[in-house]
Amino acid sequence: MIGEALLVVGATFILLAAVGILRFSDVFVRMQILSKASTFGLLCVLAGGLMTMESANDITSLLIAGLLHLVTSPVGSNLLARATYFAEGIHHHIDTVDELAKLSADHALEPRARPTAN
Amino acid sequence: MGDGPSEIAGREGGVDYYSVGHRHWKMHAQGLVLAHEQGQRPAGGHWSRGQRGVLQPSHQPARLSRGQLGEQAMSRLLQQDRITGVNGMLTAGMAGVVVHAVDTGTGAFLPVLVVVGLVGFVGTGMIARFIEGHGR
Repeated sequence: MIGEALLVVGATFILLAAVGILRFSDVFVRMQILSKASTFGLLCVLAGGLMTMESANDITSLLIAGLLHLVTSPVGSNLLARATYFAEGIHHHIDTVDELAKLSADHALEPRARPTAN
Repeated sequence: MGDGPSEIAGREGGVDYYSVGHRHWKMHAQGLVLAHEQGQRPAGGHWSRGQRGVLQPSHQPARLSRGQLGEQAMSRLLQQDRITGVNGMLTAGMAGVVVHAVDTGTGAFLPVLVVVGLVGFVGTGMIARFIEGHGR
């Protein structure tokens, strides 16, 4: 019963993430809501599956999928956010502290130059 | 049997199944016997889809999420928003696979989760590199 409840909670969190993606206005906020809420929701769903499934193969698949998502989701989101930050022509608004601006100024990071055709 | 069923609800493996409320009966040579009740796995068999009523609330959010994230992936102008929507669709699809596996009791599609997790990450990285090079 706890497993099924976790499934419902996780699916609801993923739905909330989808609603947030459609409602929020800034591109970074949309990335953040997808990274956090949907990861938590998916982990809840996978935990519910772990509690419910009985076969060792199924449990192993669920464990590997959960670990993989836990490792790759923040890295992928960070890659995408960094690329968005340095990309030209994309308006974004940072509320309080822009740590990446200071870092890029210190290390003279510039947006990647466009490849030129020979 | 008292309040036994009167109409056939389904046929599986040459055996007629009858349902009354949350109880399921099957025809044996000696007459109708109780097969299983709602919420219990049938003896020696798998769940058929939808037998667990508590899982129905899980299917709907997963479907709705896939729809909303699909709209995000199709209608937004920025590449970042599209890849964000596609990532969300992958996550909602993974949740749908798990809910289906728990609902039916068969985990045949669960290895797909591992493949989708890997391929989604590689695709996100590639598109991040593309955006970094080309802007929007």
